[in-house]
Amino acid sequence: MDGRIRKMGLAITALVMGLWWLCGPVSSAEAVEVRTFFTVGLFNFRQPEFRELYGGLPAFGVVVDLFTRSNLGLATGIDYYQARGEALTLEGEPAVYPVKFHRWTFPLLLKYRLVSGGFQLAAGAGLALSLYDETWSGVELSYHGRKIHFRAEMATDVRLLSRLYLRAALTWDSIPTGVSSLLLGGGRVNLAGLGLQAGIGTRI
Amino acid sequence: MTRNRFRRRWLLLLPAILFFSLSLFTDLPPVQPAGLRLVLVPKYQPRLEAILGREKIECLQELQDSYIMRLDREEGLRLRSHGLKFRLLTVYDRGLVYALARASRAADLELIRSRFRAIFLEGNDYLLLAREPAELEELPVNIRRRLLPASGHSLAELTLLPEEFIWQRVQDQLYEQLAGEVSADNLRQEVVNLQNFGTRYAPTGNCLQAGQYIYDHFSSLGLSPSYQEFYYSTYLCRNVIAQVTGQTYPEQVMIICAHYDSTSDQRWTLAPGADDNASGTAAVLEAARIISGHPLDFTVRFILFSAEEQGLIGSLRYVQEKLSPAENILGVLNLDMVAYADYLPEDLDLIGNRSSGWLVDRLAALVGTYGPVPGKKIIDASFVYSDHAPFWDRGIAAVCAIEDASVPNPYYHKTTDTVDTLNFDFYRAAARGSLISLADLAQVIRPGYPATPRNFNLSLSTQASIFNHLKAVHLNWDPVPGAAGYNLYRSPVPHANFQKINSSLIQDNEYIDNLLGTEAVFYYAVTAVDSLNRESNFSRELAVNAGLTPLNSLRLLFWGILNFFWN
Repeated sequence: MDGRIRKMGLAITALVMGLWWLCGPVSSAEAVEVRTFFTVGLFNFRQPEFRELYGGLPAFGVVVDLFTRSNLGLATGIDYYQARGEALTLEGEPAVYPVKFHRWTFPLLLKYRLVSGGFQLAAGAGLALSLYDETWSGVELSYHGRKIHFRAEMATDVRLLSRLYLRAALTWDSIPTGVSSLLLGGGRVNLAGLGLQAGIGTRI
Repeated sequence: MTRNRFRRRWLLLLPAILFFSLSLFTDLPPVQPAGLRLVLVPKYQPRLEAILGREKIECLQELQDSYIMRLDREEGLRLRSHGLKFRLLTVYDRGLVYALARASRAADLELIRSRFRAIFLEGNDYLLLAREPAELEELPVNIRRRLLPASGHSLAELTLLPEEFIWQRVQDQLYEQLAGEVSADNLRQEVVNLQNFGTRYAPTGNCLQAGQYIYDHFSSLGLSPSYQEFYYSTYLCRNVIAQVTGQTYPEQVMIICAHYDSTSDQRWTLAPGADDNASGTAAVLEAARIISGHPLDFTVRFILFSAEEQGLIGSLRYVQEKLSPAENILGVLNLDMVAYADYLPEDLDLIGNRSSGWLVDRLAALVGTYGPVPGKKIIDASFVYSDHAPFWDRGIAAVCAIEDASVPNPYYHKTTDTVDTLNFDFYRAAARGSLISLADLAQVIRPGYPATPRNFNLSLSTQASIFNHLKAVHLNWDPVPGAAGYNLYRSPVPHANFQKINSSLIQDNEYIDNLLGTEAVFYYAVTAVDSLNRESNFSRELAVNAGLTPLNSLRLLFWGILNFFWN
């Protein structure tokens, strides 16, 4: 428990320091560029058992990117993933139990971009808070958890109009929940996976 | 200076070189394999049973506060590495005979020590070392003894049960009627008949004749008895076995037993053994007479052991040779001295070990109601000096019913242990209680009631998602003609504490129970109910290992708020 709290403390300290470092040189509005996107896409679990259960998870997101003139920036937003499936039969007679999975993720990433005309390539990494929920239908079974975890992202923006952009982004989440699962033969659940999202956005 | 240092180095090296050279040229004896030792492991050490189970170390004998185990050096080191404490008793020699003996008086202990090597175990119990079983005959007759089992059993198999149990249906008219059939005259006559053999000391021909008498008695009841023959030293001994086969689940077996041999300080010629143990034997015969006239769901087996006084040899041989894996022994009721009472009301001590707690509790309730005699519940794993103990060694629930041990029978193992010293009010009550216990556990079939559901079976299925899993128990049984429906019962402990899980009658002859609890093992039984709301006996009991993990039902406040907005 102490270790966890310490890690969280370190993460928050690092975050504050990063913000200070970023905001320090910003003295005028021109020094900052803000882009907002609405995205949709798919998330794929790394664990094959989870993929078998839920397939690809439809994902919806709102993203806010903030870049300085030095091309360093912060990205934040909200991602929502949800999927439905049927519980897998591990032994005995098969039975149908619909199950639902939801995940909300709030990322805070440090990014760097390369800009060339109307094309931008950005990459970043940071922390995200994920809240996840799994519920069964027909029986009183549910699970709710949360985790601060690592996220990495790579995104490409293409300018369509003067303030309108098209985005494609690839995200990697690693979410070690610490919970053991019978589906993994008692192994620990990591909700890790790769997300591919595309969207449209604007520069503010 | 340098030369001195060089010399000193040589002086140090010299002994090593010498030792090395000697070891090359000397024919050293081969290394002896590590010997086995008997050790006493105190109970109530943290994670003791789990460690012993994991290390596959078996227990030779459970006592009240400790276990006797046989360990090699490696096993001993492994136990020590887990932080477990134990006391070395002696190096184990396969050529010796080991016995446990209870010496309650200082004079007895002095006598034991004068003839045997005796090692203190706990309480009044000692480990005796002898060269052969017959040497134990030198023990004074009033000292209880048993041979230490040669093989052990895994402690992980032991079922630890709660101390409180919930039972259904103790008051019953049929039981009253059955109890009323117990006859004090019959009991007296049987004790007299057995006493009239003069002695029933196991190595004598009289004891064989007594066995024949019991065999004939069972035959006269229409049963098909059999002998189990074995030798004590060079003497032929015989256990006598008979049974009433169950009509619904014949493989479920309830045993009632007693030893019919006797002893005294003139054992070769005179050992009437009226209380020890013609009383138990006659109570078993009387139970057989009454029970054999009634249909039962489960099988009742009547066993009268020989050579108990020689260290439980008859019952040891029975569990070694006659237990069948196709059978499920529900419980064992051992009657040993159930007719002496110094005053009334006398207690009937019901002695069990931890895993027999449910049986002790059930018997106490039944003998208290139908004896009526106060049944004193005693959990004492050290009381291994009668024929229930070999069943304990196999993890079978067994209870020894014995008259109040706090006031011992003054005629115990004497030539004066005769029928005129017995109290027939107490004896009849004890026999009634024993009979009803047997009828209850073997489930006497009630006339006019729905039949007990047959072929009760279950299968388990497991469904899983990322974070949750569900174990579904699929239960089914044969339809019962005339049944309006069925009740299904579930318990987290075996044999007791069953709770009905259906709110209304189950119409089908199958049911799926979704296990959402946190218990690892569940037990099930089903009954049939007719239109007059009369309920049958329980079916056989089935266990399922669900091995569930606790559910996480805590909702995060943040999640709740978000969910609200999202919806």
